[in-house]
Amino acid sequence: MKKYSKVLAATLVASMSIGLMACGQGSDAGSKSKSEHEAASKSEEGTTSKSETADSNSKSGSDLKGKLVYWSMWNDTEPQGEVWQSIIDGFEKEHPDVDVTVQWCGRDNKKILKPALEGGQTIDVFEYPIEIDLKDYILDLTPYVDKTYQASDGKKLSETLLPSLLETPKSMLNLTDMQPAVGYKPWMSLFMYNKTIFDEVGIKEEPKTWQELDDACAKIKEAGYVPLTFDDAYASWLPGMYLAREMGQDWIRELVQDSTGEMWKDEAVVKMAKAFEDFAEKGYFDSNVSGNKYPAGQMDVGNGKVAMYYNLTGLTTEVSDVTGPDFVWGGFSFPDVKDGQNKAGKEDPAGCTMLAVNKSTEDPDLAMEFIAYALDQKNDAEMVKKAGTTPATVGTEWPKSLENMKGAFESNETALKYGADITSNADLAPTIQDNFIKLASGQISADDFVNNMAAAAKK
Amino acid sequence: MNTTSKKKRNIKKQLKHLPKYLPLVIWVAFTVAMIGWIFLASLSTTSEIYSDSILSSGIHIENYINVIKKHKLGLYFLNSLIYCAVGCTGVILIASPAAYALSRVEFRGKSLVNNIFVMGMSIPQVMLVMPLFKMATSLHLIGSRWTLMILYICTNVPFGVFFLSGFFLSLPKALEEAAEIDGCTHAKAFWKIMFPLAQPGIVTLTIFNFINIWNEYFMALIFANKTELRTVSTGLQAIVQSMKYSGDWAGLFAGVIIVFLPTFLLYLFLSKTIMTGVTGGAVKG
Amino acid sequence: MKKKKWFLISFLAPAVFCMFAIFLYPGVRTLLMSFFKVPFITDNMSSWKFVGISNYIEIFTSPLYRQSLINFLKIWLIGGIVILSLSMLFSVIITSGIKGKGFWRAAIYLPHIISSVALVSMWLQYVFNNQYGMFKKLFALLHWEKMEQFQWTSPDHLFLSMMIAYTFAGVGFYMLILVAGIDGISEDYYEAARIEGAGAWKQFIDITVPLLRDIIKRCIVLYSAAAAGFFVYSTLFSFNTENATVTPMVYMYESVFGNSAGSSALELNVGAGATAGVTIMVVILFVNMILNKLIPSTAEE
Repeated sequence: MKKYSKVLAATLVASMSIGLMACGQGSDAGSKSKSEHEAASKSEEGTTSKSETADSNSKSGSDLKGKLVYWSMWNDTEPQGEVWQSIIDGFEKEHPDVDVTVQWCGRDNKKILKPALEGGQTIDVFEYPIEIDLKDYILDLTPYVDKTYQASDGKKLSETLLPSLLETPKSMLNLTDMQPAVGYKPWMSLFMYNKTIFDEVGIKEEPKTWQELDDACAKIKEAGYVPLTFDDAYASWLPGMYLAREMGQDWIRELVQDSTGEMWKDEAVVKMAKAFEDFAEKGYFDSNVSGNKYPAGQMDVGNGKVAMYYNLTGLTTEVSDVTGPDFVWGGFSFPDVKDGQNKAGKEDPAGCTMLAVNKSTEDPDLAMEFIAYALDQKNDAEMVKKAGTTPATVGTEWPKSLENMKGAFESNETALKYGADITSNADLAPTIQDNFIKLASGQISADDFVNNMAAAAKK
Repeated sequence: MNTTSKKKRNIKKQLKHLPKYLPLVIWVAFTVAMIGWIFLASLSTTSEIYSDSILSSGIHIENYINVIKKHKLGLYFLNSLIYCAVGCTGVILIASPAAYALSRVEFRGKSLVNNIFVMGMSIPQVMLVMPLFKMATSLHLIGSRWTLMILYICTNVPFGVFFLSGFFLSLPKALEEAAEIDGCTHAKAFWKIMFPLAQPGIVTLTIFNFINIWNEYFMALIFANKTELRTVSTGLQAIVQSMKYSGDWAGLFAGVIIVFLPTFLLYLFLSKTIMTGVTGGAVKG
Repeated sequence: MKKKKWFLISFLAPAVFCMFAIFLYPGVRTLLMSFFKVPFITDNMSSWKFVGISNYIEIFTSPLYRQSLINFLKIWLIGGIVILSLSMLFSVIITSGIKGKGFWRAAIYLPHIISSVALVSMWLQYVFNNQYGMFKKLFALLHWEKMEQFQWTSPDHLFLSMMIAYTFAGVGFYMLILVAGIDGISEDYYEAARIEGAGAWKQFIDITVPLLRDIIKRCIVLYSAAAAGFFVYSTLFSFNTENATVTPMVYMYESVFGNSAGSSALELNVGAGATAGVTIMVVILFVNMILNKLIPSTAEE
């Protein structure tokens, strides 16, 4: 886990603290009294005065006071939501004068957060959905991560958290000159698979090349299982990753912005389409794949019908109700393809869930106390145990469901975006999704795919 | 003509009607099958739903208990009721005087005012939402229950004015003339005499508005995004999403049924009134 | 005279104020916005940048917006024809003297009062489901293999499925209006036609349709407005924005609140959302104009 980010993180933490000394002369006036103000006054200014000296001590001893509103990306019925609820209860119990209101938005947070923030609603802490752009609403946490909090046991927050969780939000949001959020629950996007099926059909090694994946699929299919499936929501990640293995993420960004349509006729796209056409012809994809509405496909993996599903590591939690506790998961990096970049295991989509603080929050210190509490060792261990997520703190054990994927986390060097950013052109993304679903379900040929995409991209 | 032949003719007549029943029966049978299965599935477990053996392990009431316990469905119902009640009342209070004035009083610029209302009705919502959002923001109304109440009142006023002025035109003039001779002011004559007389029209309009507001989704999505403010529609959407994430299909169906049932029961008792209301509202506009 | 003025003001002012605040001002503002570059919806007018018709050029070159227009036209034309013909069929049957008229009318209208979210969940999670779905089971029972394997929610069929669900919910409403209209036609007309030996179809064409002209027109106007605001079904049928279900309203919502600008360099432009609204409004006005030309209402004759 730490390898890929160790060096970067170290330099960053260093440069950050230097930067902090420079800009850390802001007054720390009124960090407590602010909570008494009415919620209505939320002008865009007034945030600069809130940043405090980096080395100012926490208010340990004096108890915390105030109100916090947390908009969660979880539903209260999900395991993560349940853990968050207990975190909130615990925080309120420890600080009786603090009142935390939680808003369970679920993944609809990407639909409602922006209108709410634009409308000036009182939101102090929220999970930043990377699908939307909220960088005008977030507080720069640079001064705050190097402070100590009541829950951080005398250590700085940056020392208790895995270094990557401070680094990754920056790279995920392309914001290098600030600390946009604090991460937790690091994730990767891998071929998640049912290890029991792999063992049963005798696949000993996780596939490292496309050919090995092909062989594995053949074995699985022979044994009567369905090798692969996906849901509409993530359909374009598969072609995205194939292209990334061939040409890299930057090339894909160019590809989706290309307005001549010529780039789609590139040999890399043709080869990708042919590869999936071949898989479709061999019957590797589930027969329902063209009609799968999220989360139908991942349920099929959970109930043991399908062996593999290319998705985030959080999948294990999402389908945990269906799989039960004894399901053995595995996960491997998207395999290398012929004449490609050979980056399997080194370049994979990775990131973390991000907790951001609204820049117009009244009491940033209180918000950070809450975050620090939520991400302390005890609560993190609870999250890992109950929700089966990846740990966020130094020294916390990995959950059983993800143990087999630890290697993939450790070997990763460069974090890509979801699906190697193939959805970065909102205008074109639905067309890629459509055509790939058709390709994978055998409704169109590889040539059709290329022609359709070229025609759609041409302005 | 004796009775048997009459009966025969009757039967024959009904037989001739038989093919007409076919589309009706198919349509209604489908509705019953769909809702019926959802109901049964809501009493089963998720794995039973997937393995095609609903109810095989008995009735699972706990799906309902879970949904009610974990989600604030009662609150969503209460919210929707508040929005509907305030919305409908507001529309009547604002629209009926205006409709009365437009239908009974001659004044300069009357046709202009009339045209403004007609124009208002032809502006689609997609044109209004963005500035409305901006307005709500500048007034600090985002995140408050007032926003939706005000919006539901105001968006339904033009239609209310239009509908009620047609209704007032159909009422006899003699009554309020008599009242005015007695020394009543215009305003008094309206509230005392015409407003009660317009009851049927007002009921029709209210039912029409009620159903529209109850099922409204778009504005509720944007302007009532907090749990405490959610309507039944957006609340159910939140439940459906959360059940999907936790793979609880039985719970999802239970939520759907809980939302469906009150409306359905109300409809059982009031279907005639509701249908008249909706027809009146739609046709007169 | 003064009294009358005061009375008029007190009676009309609230409603007129509503009109200006909620309809006219926002309408004009959106129209203006469509000629400006507006980075945020909450920006004041002073920070708008005039860009002429470039917003219009931008959205008409956007494949997503073009698709949304195509979908809108499909919903409006094909959906409209199907929904209104079905409603007409049902209303004619119901008013033809069958038994249990009240029951059938109430039963067919029922879906319209159910919350769309509940209804769509029923369709999506049950009827169209590709594992235990009603249609799958039904066609399996009929041994109709091809239809059994039919993927109702695949990209190609999603629009069809969405429209089936939408039709199911909508037919009852228009049927109700038409039934009321037919009920209002004097039985004498039909009696006279029957004496002349006119069949059911001829009666329908010669009596029902012409006499229902106003009401049919009303239905079309109502349906057009509904098609312009088509949003709920689109968002409920798709997880991401999809070509199959995107409509101008969804496009507007996306460009204002949901633009996935997380990674790309695309600048957010709320003006484009406004432009989408304006184009839809123009289409609706155009439709209503044509309708008024084609079917002049009886009152105007």
